[in-house]
Amino acid sequence: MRLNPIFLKDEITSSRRFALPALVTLVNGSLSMLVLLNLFYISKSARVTGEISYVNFLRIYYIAAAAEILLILLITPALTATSISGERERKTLGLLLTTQLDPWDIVIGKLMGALGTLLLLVFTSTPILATVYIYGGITFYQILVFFLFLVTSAVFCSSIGIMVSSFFTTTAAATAVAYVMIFLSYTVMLMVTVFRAQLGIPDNRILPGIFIVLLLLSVFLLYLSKRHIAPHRKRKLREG
Amino acid sequence: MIVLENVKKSYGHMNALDGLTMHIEDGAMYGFVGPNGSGKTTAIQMMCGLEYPDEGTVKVDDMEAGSNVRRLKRRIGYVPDYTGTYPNLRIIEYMDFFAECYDMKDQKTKRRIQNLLSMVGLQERQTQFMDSLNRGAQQKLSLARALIHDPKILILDEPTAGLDPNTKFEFRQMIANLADSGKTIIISSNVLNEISELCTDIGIIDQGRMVMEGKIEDVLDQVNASNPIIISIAGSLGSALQALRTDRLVRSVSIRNNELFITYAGSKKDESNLLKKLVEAGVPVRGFHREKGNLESLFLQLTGTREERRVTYYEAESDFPEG
Repeated sequence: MRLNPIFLKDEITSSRRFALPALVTLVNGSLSMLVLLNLFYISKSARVTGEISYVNFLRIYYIAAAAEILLILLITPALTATSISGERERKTLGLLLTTQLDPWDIVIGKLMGALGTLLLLVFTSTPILATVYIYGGITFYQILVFFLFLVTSAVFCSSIGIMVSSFFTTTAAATAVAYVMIFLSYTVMLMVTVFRAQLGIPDNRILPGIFIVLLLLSVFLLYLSKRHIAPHRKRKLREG
Repeated sequence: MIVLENVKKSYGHMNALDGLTMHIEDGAMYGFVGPNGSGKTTAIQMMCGLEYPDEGTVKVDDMEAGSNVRRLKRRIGYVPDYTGTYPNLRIIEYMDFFAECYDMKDQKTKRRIQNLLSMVGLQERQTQFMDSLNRGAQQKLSLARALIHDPKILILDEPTAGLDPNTKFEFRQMIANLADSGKTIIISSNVLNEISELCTDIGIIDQGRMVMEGKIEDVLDQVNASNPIIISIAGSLGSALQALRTDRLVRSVSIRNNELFITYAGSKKDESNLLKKLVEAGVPVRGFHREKGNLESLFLQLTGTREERRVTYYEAESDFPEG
C-alpha cells in the first residue's frame, strides 16, 4: 500500500519537533490534573459528610470529556492553519504541484497528518477517561459515542483549518479565521442540540445527524481547499 | 517541443502576458531573457502547469498544458528561483520525499538519487539537515530534485542568481552536461553573458510579448548588421575616403586612430564588394570587419529604451520654458 508522501514527510518533520511530545504531555497532564483534583474533592467531602456520591464520579467523566473536546477545538486550528499556508510561505507548494501529486493528495496528506496528532492525543487520554470505570455509571456505548464525536470533531476542525490555510497566504490570518469558524460552528451545533425539541428533531436523530453533517461539511471544506490550491482557468463571462 | 501561442494572462488590472508566442525545439538550450516583471516567470509557470492562460494555448509535446497534467508533469523538471526547503528534513529524506511524489521508491530510484547527489557534489553530505546548506548547495540540491524523475525538459528560473562565481561556474558546467545528454533546457536569466555562453536559442520578452526569438547566431547577426564596419588602413586615409564617398550604401564615416568606422547599409555580399572596391582603388587595407554585437546591446536596444521614450514624451508634452 502506498502511503501519502505528504503525510510521511509531515510525520518525519513533526516527530523531530519538540512541540508534539510537549503537546501530549500538556494535554494529558491537564486532563489528569482535572481528574485528580475532582477525586481529591470527592474524598475530602466524604471525610466531612461520611458519604460518597456516585454522581460526583460521573461528574469527573463529564468534566474530562468536555475538557477534551475543548482541547481538540483549541489545538486543531494551531495544528492545521499552518498546513497549506506554511508550504506556501516556504515556497514548497509550487514545487509539490509540479510533481505528479494531485492537489487532493496534498489536502488528504495534510488531513492525515493533523488527524495523526489529534488521534494520538485522543488515544493517549483514554486511561484518564477510563477512571470512570472505577465506580461505573457510564456504558461502553456512551464512551464509544463520545470517541466517535471526538474523531468526527477532529476531522471537521482539521478540514476547517486546512481550508482556511489554503485560502490565506499568512499563517497568522489563517489561524485567526479558523478559530472564529470553529467557534461559530460549535455554537450553532450547541444551539441546535439545546433547542432540538423546538426544531422538531427527535432525540435519537440528533447524534447521527451531527456526525453526518460534520462529515459532509468536512468533505465540502476539503474540496474547497483542493480547488483553491489547484491551478485553475479563469471563467469567461459569456458575451451578449 | 514547447509552443506558446498568443498567450494572455492578467492578474487584476496587470497584464503579465500580452499575446506571448514562443517556440522551443526539442534538444534546444533556450535562453529566456527579459527585464524584471516582463512575464518570464508567469510563462515558465504555465509550461510547468502551475498557471493557466486566460487566452491562447500552451503545448508541451502536443499535449495542452492543463488537459493532461500528470503526463505533462512527468516530462518537466523545474528549478525555481527559490529553493523551497524543509529545514527539518535531511538531504536524502528530501530527495526520497520528492521521489515518492513521482511514485518512485524502488532500488533503481535509490541508485538514481545517489547518482544525482554525486553529480551535484552532495553525496557526502546527504545526512545533513537542509537548513545547514548554503545558497549554492541548496541550488544544487534543487537541480538534483528537479532531475529525480529524469524529465525530458528542464526549466531553470534564474538558476545562478545569488551564487558565488565558483558555484556559478560549476552550475553552468552541470547544465552544459545535461544539455549534451539531449534534454531540452530552458534558462530564464538576466545574466546575458551566461545565456550567450550556454544557449543555442534565445527569446527576448518585454511587457508580456516576445520581441525577438531565434538561434543565438542569427539573432547576433541581426545585431551585427546595425554595427559599424571597422576598416584599418596602413598610411593615408585620403584614397579610402575617396572610395567610400562613391558608395551609396555608406551612410556615415568617422575616423579614430587610423581606423575608419563606417555605417553601412549593405548585405554581406555588398560588404565584400566594398572591400574589393577599396583594394582595387589601391587603398592599403590592413583590416576589414564588422564590429561584433553582443546580447547586452541587443537587450538594451529592444527593452531598455522604454524609459527613454517616456522621458522624451514628457519633455515634448511640457510647455514650461527652460531656466
